[in-house]
Amino acid sequence: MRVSALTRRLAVIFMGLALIFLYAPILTNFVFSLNSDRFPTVPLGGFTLEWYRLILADALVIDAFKNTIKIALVVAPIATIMGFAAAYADYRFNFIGKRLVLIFALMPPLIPLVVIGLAMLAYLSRIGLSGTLPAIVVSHIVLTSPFAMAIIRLRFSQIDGDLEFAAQNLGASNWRAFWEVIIPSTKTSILAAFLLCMAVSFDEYAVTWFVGGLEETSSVRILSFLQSAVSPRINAIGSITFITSITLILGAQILVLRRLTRGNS
Amino acid sequence: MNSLSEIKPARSVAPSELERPMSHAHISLRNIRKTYGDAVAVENLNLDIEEGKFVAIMGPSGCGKSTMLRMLAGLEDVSGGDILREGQWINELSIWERDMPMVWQSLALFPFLTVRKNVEFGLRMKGVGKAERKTRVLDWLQKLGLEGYADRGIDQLSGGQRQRVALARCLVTEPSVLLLDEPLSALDAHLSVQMQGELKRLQRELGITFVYVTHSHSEAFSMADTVVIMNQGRIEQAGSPEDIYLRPATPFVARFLGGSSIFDCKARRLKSGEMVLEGPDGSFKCTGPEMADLDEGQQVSLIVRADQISVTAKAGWAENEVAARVVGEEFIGALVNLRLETAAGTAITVQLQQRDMQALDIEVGTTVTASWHPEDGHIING
Repeated sequence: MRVSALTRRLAVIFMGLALIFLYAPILTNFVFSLNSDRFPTVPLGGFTLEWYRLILADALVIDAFKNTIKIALVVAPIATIMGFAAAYADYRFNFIGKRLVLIFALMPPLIPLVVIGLAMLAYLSRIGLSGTLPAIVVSHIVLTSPFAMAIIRLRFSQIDGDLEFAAQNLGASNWRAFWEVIIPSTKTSILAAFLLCMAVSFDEYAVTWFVGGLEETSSVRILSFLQSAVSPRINAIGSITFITSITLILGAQILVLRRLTRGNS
Repeated sequence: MNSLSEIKPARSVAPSELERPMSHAHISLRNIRKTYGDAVAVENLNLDIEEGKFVAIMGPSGCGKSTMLRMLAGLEDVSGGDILREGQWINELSIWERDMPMVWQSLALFPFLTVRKNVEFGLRMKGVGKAERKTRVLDWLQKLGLEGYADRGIDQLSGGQRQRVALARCLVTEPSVLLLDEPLSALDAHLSVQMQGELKRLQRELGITFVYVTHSHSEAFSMADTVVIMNQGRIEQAGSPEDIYLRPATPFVARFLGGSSIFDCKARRLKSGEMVLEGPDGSFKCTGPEMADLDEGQQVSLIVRADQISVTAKAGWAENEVAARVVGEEFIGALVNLRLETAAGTAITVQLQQRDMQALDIEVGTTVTASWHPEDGHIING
């Protein structure tokens, strides 16, 4: 598309402002986590790792991180497998009510978190699970599997529908064709989905807070910090959480984009 | 037929085929029916395919030709009827048990594998040893001129090369039947003609049965030993290309192949005892052997091929004549296809030499006389 030099310049400025608006708070957060002053003011004080040392010495924080990792490691594989199964069913089979099933499968991220949190709490407490790690795991699977399905479906949409049958036509049984054709074709998107599920599980705090009771994940811990006192420790724990999830998300992005560009070439 | 029990021991009722005499055909389709809900895709389809023949199935889109191929490959279940290979009932064999490799319209090559690994796939699935796989793959890559591309990815190949990989991938398993679903439709005209020659040569050399689905006349007629013409889920005619060209069995076949003029007529016996064909375009004589079987008043179609019709400026020269207006002309090299229309609305196609056309001095709108010899008409019931 042809655009005039002025429009182009304005667009660049607008995009720059938007990016600054998005990332400046996170950057400040990171800068103040290394600042020795008690309060986030300019000019900055000296460089320090004190806040990181403090949070890493805090048993509550360590427990929260441990919980987060435990939950993510259980949630990501299960959600990825469920998302994959749903995406594969969509790719391979036609059945009555398929659209409806797809809508329901993809809906959870669109439901307000407070609603899901309340509903999950009501349900899980009825079956005696609320306030436990399994409760958080179940909730996170509900929230993350639609992301896994969306990513893997995107990949399936680029795969020739005849491929699996071509493998069967050459003598591969159902399962063999699946392993020889479907898995190699989708493996990067499966990995991307896995990383994204981990990232979502890592970041999620609203539903976790509802169903977790006394069990905390790192994001819930940040919330608790905020509610009790303003301390640069929040900046430190926030930076750690941010770096972890951005790494996971960028990893997923790179895998998905690599697939897309290769698919288009 | 005695091996039926090995194939399907669970079935207590013998398939309807058991009572019938042993078939010598390589592949037989008996009373095949395929329905999707209420929609009938294929109905009452009977076809014997002889071993080592090149059979082309053609028809307009939606005629059921691809459905038929997919039922052979096991990709679709049949709703009724029997599929036999060498007399064995194979209806319920899974796709992977049928051993009828297929060249797909989309080619369906594995994009994540190299050319070599694509070709090797079928052998690997069959459990052929590594050393043997290697030599057989190499052998086929050489046969199809692909030896220099063994380690390339599929996306680094041209259309024609991909076509060859798809062929090699099927033929390396040494099947007795190869199914082809419009394999050349993605190629440009020049490449398509080249591949047609190559396919025919391969089929002759290997002596295996080819079942080739296409909508292209030129592909079917240039390669096949037997051409099967389908329409609305039924076989209209099956026969040699020459047979179908010279003696179309139904008005549909004549119309589908094009290049013929079709006159709707009724048989009428003159006082002299001679039988003539009367229709809105006039009364025509015909000396074909079919004339003897006609009854008074019987509805028939008179088919005259484009190369058998002459065009003159004046009437009164021939026995079968009809006046028609020129509505169009197409120049194909040294030949001209002249499209005429009679007063009754019948379309007539005439093929002329370029120089005859010039001698006639006609243009669109001119009224001319089309004529043919009584022995050149071909009669079809209906």
